[in-house]
Amino acid sequence: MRSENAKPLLEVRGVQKHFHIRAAAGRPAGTLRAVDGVSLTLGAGETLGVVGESGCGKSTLARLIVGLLEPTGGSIEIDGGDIWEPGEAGAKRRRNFQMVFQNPSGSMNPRRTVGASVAEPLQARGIRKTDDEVARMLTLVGLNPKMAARMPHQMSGGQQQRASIARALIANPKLVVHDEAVASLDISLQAQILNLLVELQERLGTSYVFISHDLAAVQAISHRVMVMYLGEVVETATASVFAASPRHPYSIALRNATLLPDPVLENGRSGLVLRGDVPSPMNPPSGCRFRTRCPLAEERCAAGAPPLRDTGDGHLVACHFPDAAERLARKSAVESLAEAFA
Amino acid sequence: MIKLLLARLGAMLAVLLAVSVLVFAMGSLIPGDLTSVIVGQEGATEEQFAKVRADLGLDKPLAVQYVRWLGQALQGDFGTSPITGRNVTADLAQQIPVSVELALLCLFFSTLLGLPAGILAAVHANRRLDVLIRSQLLIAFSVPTFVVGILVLLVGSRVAPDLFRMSFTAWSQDPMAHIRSMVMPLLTITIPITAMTMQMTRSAMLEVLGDPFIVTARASGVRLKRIYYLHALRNALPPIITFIGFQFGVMLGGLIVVEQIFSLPGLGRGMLEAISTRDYPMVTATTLVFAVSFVLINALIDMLYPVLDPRQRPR
Amino acid sequence: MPGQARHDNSAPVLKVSGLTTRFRTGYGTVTAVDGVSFTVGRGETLGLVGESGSGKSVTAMSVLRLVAPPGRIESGTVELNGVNLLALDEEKMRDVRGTQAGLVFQNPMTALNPVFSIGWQMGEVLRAHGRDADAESSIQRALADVGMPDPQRQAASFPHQMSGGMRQRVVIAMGMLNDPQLLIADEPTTALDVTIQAQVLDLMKKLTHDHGTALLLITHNMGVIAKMCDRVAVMYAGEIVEQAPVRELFADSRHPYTRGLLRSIPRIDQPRGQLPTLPGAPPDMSALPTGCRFRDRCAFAQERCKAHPELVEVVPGHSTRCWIAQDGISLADAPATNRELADAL
Repeated sequence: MRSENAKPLLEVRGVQKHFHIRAAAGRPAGTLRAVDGVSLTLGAGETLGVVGESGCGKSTLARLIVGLLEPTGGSIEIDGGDIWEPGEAGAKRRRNFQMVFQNPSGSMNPRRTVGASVAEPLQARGIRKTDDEVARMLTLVGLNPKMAARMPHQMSGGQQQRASIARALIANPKLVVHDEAVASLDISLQAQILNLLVELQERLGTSYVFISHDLAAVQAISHRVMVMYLGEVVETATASVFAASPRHPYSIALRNATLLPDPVLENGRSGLVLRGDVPSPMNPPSGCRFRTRCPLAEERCAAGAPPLRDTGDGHLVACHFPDAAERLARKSAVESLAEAFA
Repeated sequence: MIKLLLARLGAMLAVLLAVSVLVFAMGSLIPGDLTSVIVGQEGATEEQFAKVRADLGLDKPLAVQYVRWLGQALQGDFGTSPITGRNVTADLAQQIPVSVELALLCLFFSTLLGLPAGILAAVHANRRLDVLIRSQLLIAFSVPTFVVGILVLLVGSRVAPDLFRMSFTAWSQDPMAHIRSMVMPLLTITIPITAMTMQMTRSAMLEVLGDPFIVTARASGVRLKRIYYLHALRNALPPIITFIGFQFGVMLGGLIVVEQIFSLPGLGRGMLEAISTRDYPMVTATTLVFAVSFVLINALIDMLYPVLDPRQRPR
Repeated sequence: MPGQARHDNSAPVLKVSGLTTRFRTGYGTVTAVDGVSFTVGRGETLGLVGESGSGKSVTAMSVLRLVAPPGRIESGTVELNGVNLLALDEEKMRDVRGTQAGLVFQNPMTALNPVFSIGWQMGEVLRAHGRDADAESSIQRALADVGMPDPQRQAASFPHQMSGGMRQRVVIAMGMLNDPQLLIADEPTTALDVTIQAQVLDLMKKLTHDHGTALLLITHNMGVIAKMCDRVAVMYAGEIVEQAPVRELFADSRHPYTRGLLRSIPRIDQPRGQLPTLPGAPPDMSALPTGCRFRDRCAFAQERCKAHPELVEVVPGHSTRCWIAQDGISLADAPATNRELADAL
C-alpha cells in the first residue's frame, strides 16, 4: 500500500560518489564522478524505478542507498535519520536495507546450502532458530521449503533468484534495492519474478528501488520512474506520466530505443535515434552532460547545466527546453517528410 | 612512455639496493669473521688479530663497512679471496660466461621444443597426442637432475665415447671440443625445462583458445595454423615469456648440480666450492651476481609487456 | 516497405533441412538441435528466437560448422547457394567462411583480438581468401559503410580504445567485408546499451537491404524480432515449434509457448500491473519429457500431447508443432485443460 503520509521513508539529498583513479599502465589519473548530486524520495510500500545506460551511475547509486558505499557528498536518510551517523545509530539504520543482485548464481555462497544463505540476515542479527522463518520465506517466494537443504548449483537460475529474494526479505527490511534483478533471467521467467516482487510488496509493505537498463521492466513494477545519465538525474515522474509524456530528450530517446514486441507498432514508430556513444564518466561534457548527443543542443547547453525543475505534480526535468518533447516531435516529423521525398 | 620506463628503472634500482644490503648483512652474520680465517686459529696474538682486522676494515662500524663494500663492488672490485688468494672479480669473470652460455643454450633449445609441443598439446587438449606429450615430458621432469645427469654420463660413455668428453674446454681453445663438452650437460638440463615450458605454453594457449575472438577468426575463414601460431600465440605470450625469464634467472645459480657432475667451471660450481671452503668474499660476491642478474632479467621482461600487449601502452 | 517479405521467389540463399547436432559427453547426450529446418531468401531476415536450451545459438554455429567439440553435427543438410556445406571438406568450408557467409557475434567486448589493430584484423579476413590486393582502401570503405567517423585513424587503433558500439560496428564490417550472401548475427545487440542497440540494428537493416544479404538473426528479444525480421522461427528445447511471417506470429500465434511468451513480456505501452506468465521454466536438455516438450507448461495440454507432434503448416507460410493448433482451432478459443495455468495466461 502506498503511504500517503507526509514523511517519506527514504530521503536522498544531493548524494555524490567520486572515485579517485590513480594512473596506471595506459591510463592517466582522474576523478570518476560516478554519482554527482542525486536527490530522491521514496515512501513506504512504493517502488522507484531507476533506469539508465552504462556509466549513468545507477549501480553506484544502488550501493550508496544500501550503505555498501559511503558517499563523498550529500546525505541518505531513512525515517529522518542519517544512515551514516557514526556508531551504532548509523549501523542500525543501515540494517533497514537489503539488496538483490543481478547474477543469481554468483550472489549465493556455493559452499553453503540455500537455507543457510537465506537465513544469513537473521543470523547476522543474532537470531539462532531460523528454520521456521526460512521455510516460511521460501514458501512465500514460491519455492518448496525442502529446497532449503539444496545447494545453489542444484537449482535453476529462476529458483536461485527467488531464493535471493527470500534472503533479502527474511529480516523484514524497510527497503530492498534490486540491481538488475531480472536482467540475466530467461524472458519467460522475468514476468514471474516481476509479478512476485509486486505481490510481496503488497503483502509486506516493503519499498523497492528497482534498477534496470530495461525501461519495460521498470515500467511494469514502478510507481515512479527516475532516469539517470552520467551520474545525474535528468527526469523523474510517476510511471503513468512518464509513459504518457516524457519531457527530457534522453528519456524520449530511451523510450524510442526500447523496442516493442509488436511489428506493426514498432515499424510504425519513427523517432529520435541518438548518434554517437555515451561519453566517459571520467570526462563528462561541460554544462548539460547530454548535450553531445542531443539533437536540440544549443549554446546555452554548453554554458550551464540545467537544474532539475519541477514542471508540476512532482514531474522533475533537467533541460533548458521546457517544450523539448514538442520540438523533437516536430523535428522527426520534418525528417520523415524529407526522407519520403528523398 | 618515458615516465613508465623511468619508474620501472627506479623500482629496479631500489630492489637491487635492498638486495645488496641483505647480502652484506647475511655475510656479516656468519659466526667468526674473516680475520680468524686468515690468521688461523693457533698461535695468533691479539695484536696480529687487531692488525688484520684493521687491514680488512673490520673494526669500523657495519654501516661504514657496507658503504665501502658497495662502493668497491660498483667498481667491480670484490677484493681478493683469502682462501684461493686470487682476485674474486677475475674468478667471477671466468665463471659467468660458462653458466650464461649453458643457461642461454638450454633456454633456446627448450623453447624451440617446448613451445610447439605446448601448442600441439593445447590444440589436441585431452586427446591422445596431448596425453602422450604431457606424460612423456612430465616423466622426464619428475626424475631429479643428478639422476638424469649420471644416467646421461653412463649412457653417453657407452654409446658415444668420442662425443663424450669429461673435461670442459673453452671456446677460445678448441671450438669443437667445447661444443662436445657442452652436449651432455645441455641434454641433462634441457629436458626438465622443456617440460615446464611445454606445460606453461599449453595452459596459456588453452585459455586463449577459449576466447571468442578465436571464433571470429575461424568464422572469417582464417587458416587454423595461422590462428594458433599468430592470433592465439600472441595473446598467450606474456605468461610464457615471464616463465622463460624467471627460468633464466633461476638457472644461473640453479645449475649447481649439472656443473658439478660434468665438472663445468661455472658459477654454480664456484659457489659450491666457495661455501665449502668458507670463502666469504667469494660467497657474497657470487650471491650478488645471482641476485642482480635475476632482477635485471625480470625488469627486462617487465618492459616487454607493453610491446606485446597494446592495452598496457599509455594512451 | 518494412515488415513485408523482401525476398524474391528464386532459390533461397540458405536452406537447412533436418539439422541435428548432439553433444555426447560422459555425463550423457544432449540433442541441442533436433531436426531443424528453415530457409532464408535473398534480402530476407529470418529471426530465430528462443530461450536457454532452445538450441538457437548451436544452430547458428552448426550452419558454419563451428560447433565446438564434444558437439557434433550428426545429420541433415545445410545448403548455402545450393551447395551442401556439411558435405564439404574442411578446406572448402574454410573458403566459404568469411566470403559467402559472415558471422556477427554476441559480445563485442570479446569478439575482437585485443593485441592486434582493427585494420590488421580486418585485413586477415581479406588475406585468408587472397583478396588483399588494395586491402587498405577496402578496409576503410567498409569502416565508412558502418558509420565510423574516421576510418583511417580507427583502422590503426586497437579494440580496447573503442566503445562497445564501435566494436560491434567493426565486427559487422568484418562480417560484410567480402560481401557475403548470408550474414549470421547471434545476439548482436544483447551486450549493448539500448540507445546503441537502436543504432546498430538500424545499421544492420540498412546494410542487408542495400546489399541484398540474407540475414539469420538469433535473439531472445521479441522487440528485436519485431523490428528486424520478415519471418520468424520460434525454437524450444532444440526444435522449431512455430514458423510464420512476423506480423502473423505476433498477431495470431499458433503455439501455446509463443502465445504465452508474447503475453508475458513487459512493454512500455502497458501500465503497471500483473503480467500474464508462463509457468515453470525451460526444460533440462539432458532429461527431456516424451511427447510434446512443452507439455508440462501448457495450459491446453491434452492426452494426445503425450505423442510427439510434428511441424505442420496450418495456414500457408505458417507452421506449428502443436496437436491442438493443428486442428485449425485458434488458441484464443481453445479449451484450457489446466485452469490454473490458463488463468496465469
